[in-house]
Amino acid sequence: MSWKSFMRNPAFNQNLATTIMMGFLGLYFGVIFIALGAAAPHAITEMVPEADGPIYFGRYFLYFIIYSFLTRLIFQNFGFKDLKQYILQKIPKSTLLHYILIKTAFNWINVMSLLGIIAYLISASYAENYDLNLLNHGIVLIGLIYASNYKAFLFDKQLSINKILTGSIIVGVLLINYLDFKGYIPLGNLLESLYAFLVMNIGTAILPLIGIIATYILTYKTLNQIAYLEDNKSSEESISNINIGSGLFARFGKAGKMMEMEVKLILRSKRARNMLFIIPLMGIYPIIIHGQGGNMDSMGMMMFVAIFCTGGYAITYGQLLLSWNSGHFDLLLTKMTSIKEIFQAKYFLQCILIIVQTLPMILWGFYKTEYFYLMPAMMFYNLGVVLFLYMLTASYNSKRIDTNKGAAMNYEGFSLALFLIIIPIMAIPVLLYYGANAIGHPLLGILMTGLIGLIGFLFHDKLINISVALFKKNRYKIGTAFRKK
Amino acid sequence: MLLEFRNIKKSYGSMTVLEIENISIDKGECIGLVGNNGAGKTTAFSLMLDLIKATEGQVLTKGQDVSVDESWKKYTSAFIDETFLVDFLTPNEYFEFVGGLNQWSKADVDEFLKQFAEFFNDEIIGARKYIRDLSKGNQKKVGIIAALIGTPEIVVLDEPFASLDPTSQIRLKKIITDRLDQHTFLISSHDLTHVADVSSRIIILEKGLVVMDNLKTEETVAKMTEYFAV
Repeated sequence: MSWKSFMRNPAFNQNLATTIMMGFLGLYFGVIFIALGAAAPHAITEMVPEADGPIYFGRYFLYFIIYSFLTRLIFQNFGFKDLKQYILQKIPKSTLLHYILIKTAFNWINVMSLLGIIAYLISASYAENYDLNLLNHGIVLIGLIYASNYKAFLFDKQLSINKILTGSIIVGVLLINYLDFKGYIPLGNLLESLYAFLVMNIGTAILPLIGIIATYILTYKTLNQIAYLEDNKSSEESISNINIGSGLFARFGKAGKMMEMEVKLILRSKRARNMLFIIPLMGIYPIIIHGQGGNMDSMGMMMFVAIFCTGGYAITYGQLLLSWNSGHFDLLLTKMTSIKEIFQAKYFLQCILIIVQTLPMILWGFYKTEYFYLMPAMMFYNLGVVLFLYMLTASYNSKRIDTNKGAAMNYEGFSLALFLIIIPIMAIPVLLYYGANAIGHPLLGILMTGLIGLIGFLFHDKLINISVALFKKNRYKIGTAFRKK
Repeated sequence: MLLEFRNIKKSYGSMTVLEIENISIDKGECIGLVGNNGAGKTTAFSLMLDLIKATEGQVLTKGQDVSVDESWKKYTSAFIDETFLVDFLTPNEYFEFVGGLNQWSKADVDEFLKQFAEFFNDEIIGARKYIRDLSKGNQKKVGIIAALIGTPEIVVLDEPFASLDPTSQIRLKKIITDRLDQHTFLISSHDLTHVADVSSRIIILEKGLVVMDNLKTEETVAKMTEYFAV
């Protein structure tokens, strides 16, 4: 059935492109994991010859488990939506629950990890000076992956009830890791001892397996209690009265009304909301990049950083422009006085997001002076160029988004056009900068990038008109695709 | 003349789903569009709202082609299906949003909604639920009433009676008849009695063609009933 809905979707060609793209990404990560796994034994014996290789590996593997656990909590899709369509069929609920639980065993994190582990075990068995009991290590490593998988599943279900707890766990783990990194607590050594204990003999090696079985049963029981049809319903308390910025939006007229509604969309769609994480992430981006030193400090790199620091959210959220509104698109088409108003609302909201995101980023200028002018310049580039490229792309992206779906590995709304448009977005500043650099005036390149953005921003009305004209030509096709579920 | 379907034709490939030579609608009429499934009712409405492209011909409102000029959006309102709802809003937020698009203040909207308290049956106004979590019937009520906000000249309702309970159907008929002086209604239905009750003119579509277009009289109602009798 999933296959049919895939084949018969009006956006089939786009789906195909996305799937091929994902296939390549999968292949890419698969190769990386296999390479890492295979290289690990040799790398460890080479770099830390004094250490007990397999145990040393285990220490870092446990770090990986911790981080992958957090990744799972934030990103993993636990497949409840799929459940909904089957729940009324004559399939016992227990079968359905087992189906979901077993299906997660084959999700991308697990498959990638497994590939890495298998490569590691094979490589380790051939490596010299690398003694490990294949059976014990194999059981422990694979066991840990799946223990983490089901633990995350269980947490997700229980924690969806308690958001504060989820947050505190994530913050707590990050804090512990930080303290460990700074050397205040010997987490690494603890993990190493834990791993050493687990692989001691077959009796301890099966502990993670027992853990899996226990978590599986517990998860099953929890699901059994809460997985009913109303699973996705908003409980009374969860309705938040959002009343921010009415005054701010009032000046935009009807477009302002739509912007106000869109803010609610951002805060209430799990996927759009999760995308907000990009803002704090981008906030610390400069230190991540420059912390590594070396040629990361080049002006070209800093331009790249500044584009994301100022436009991170607008790029991740804004690129799906109209797809976010696919669920109520006919209302907008018939109720907004004109299509232009829809585009204005979209544009001005993204502008506000970009400006708000930029203001604190300018403070990075105290860390590296260049950011004082790089951030505003790239802000204008985002406002005047990037947003328009996305508004033009919107006329070629007819993919629907269900805003109620979670964020995890959710590619709804992505089309080939969106992958392609990245090329000019990145190429324009790069070409301008290196072009100017070649004639000995790198600053000119930055100035030009900012200036083009500023011009685009000043003439936004003209550019919106162009986007609207293009959209009007494609509006029936897009509208029809948005209507198809 | 307020609205005109002129030589309109909609085909998908070689299959023609709607072909209307001419339908002219004047201000104040209440059109009941009836027909079996697949007769082309929703297609006709979608063409009128410029949601789909006509293969041939035009739909004109106040003499303007709806696919060229957007001015019809100022005086036309519709509820076809859930794509006219914003499912992550509560009913109140949704009404306010639609009101805002019509330059109505929150107070205007609240005042307007009071008269529908009975129709809403205490399940909609002030409900701490998102529209997506309402029942199909309640979603429909929200969509229909929202289409009346702003007192639009033309109101298009596709199957408004379907999925409403009998009491609500009767209340809805009263709402429509009470407002005939304010709006020109276009209502589709396959429920003959409801259409006969509210409309002033009945148009029967059959496989995309107009087979009857008459003012409502006892005679036409009888003719219509006979037409659909097996």
